[in-house]
Amino acid sequence: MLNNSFEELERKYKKYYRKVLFKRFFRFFLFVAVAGGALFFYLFKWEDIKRFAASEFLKSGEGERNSTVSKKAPSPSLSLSPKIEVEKLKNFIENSDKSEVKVKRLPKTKSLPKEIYKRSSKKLSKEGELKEIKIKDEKTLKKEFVLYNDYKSAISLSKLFFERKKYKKAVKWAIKASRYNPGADEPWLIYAKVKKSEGRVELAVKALKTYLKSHKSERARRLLKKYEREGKKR
Amino acid sequence: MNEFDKAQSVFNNDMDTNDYFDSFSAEETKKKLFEVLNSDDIHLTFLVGEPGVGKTFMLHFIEDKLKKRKNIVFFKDPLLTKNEFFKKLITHISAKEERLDDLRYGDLKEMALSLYKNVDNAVFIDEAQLMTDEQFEMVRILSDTKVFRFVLALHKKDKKRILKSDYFKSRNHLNITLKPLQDSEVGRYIQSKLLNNSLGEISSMFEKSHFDTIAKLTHRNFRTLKRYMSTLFELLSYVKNNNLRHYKGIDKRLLIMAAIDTGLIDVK
Repeated sequence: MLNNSFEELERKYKKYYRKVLFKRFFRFFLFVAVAGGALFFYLFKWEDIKRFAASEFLKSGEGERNSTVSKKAPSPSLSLSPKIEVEKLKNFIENSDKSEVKVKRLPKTKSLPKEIYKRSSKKLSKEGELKEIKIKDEKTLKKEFVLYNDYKSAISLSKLFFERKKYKKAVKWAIKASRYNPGADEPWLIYAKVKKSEGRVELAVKALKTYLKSHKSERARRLLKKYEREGKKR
Repeated sequence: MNEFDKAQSVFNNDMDTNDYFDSFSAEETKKKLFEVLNSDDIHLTFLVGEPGVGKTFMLHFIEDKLKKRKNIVFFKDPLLTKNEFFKKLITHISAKEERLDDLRYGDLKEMALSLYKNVDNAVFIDEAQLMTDEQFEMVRILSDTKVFRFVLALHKKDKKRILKSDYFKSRNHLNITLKPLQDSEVGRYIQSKLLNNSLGEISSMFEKSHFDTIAKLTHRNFRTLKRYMSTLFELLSYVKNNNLRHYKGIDKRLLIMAAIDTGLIDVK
């Protein structure tokens, strides 16, 4: 004999089925929420954490300096001395390989020491020539990239390798740089120039055309024209 | 009475040792029990398993197989006094019932020992987890005399408590564990039951996915499985009698409804 009537069992089955559906939906929702949260954290918050860690590092350095200054006799020349900043930064760069903290960008208030970081000229040459790189030290640039993890250091390395005719490395760093700033024309120009130097003008033209399809760049346009003319002459 | 009613009665049957199902664990247990009951080394054996796994059935099956060669005394439960226990042992082998009431425990014990001394015997005690400390002590003493061979069936959850007690910790005994059916054996068991009762048509209605669901719902436990199958066939019979066409064959809804009715799924 059944403990429940058939109708009662049907009713209970429906209730059970609803519960099962709800559980499945809840699990799916939970999974999506967790995965979404992890992705969001990875994409956005991680950069913030890195920046925060860097600022904390700088703050702690400043705090230490202030404390030593307050204990000893105040000496304005010591606290403003660029040598101390340089030493501190050098130490940090040397230890940055071991440390997990990577700094994307230093705060604007902290000017970078001229001995290590030099800005290139913003003036453009007429034919879209690449900016001259004054820093030729590959090691320093790589340390800089580890420290700042940004477009500028990556493109500097790319330019450096291009100048030294290490084309493979130049392309590798150009690609890295374009990841940090997908709209920038410099990585594309380097790529085109590398291909041209390797004798593959058609690839250089193709790359520039691809870039110009979705971006506007006078330098890229001029270079494309130049390469096209050269291609016709051949 | 339609064929589903017949199938229901197949799973409603009381214990019949002819229904022995040769599952992997049952075969292993059977072999060990035959061995231990024919050896002189071990006089105390524990048959351990979860409730409903088939311990009682196994003891009945062994009793059935060995009763012509051995004197087997079967205690369905241990709810007896020590005197009653010996009286049952004595009356099982001789007809001296009238005189026994006047005898004391010591005399009954001596009489039982002398009667069984040269008799190939086995004492089966089912639901041994209900035994008192006094009864365990008695079993230990009797097994030490090497006159009786005891087989005690007890629940798995009580195994540790009993076997770690002082009575048995240092004694030479054997533990045999009877496990539930394996996943693949559930389907074979159902089909063999149906086919043995000429219900091949119903047997062919089941698919592998149905057996998987049934195994999952019943936890592969014999007692639960039989109860569940009986309910399922009752539902199928109801569907057929009432011509409920939206249920086709072994419907997944019916599988769940049977589990709800047997209490395997709790829907509040």
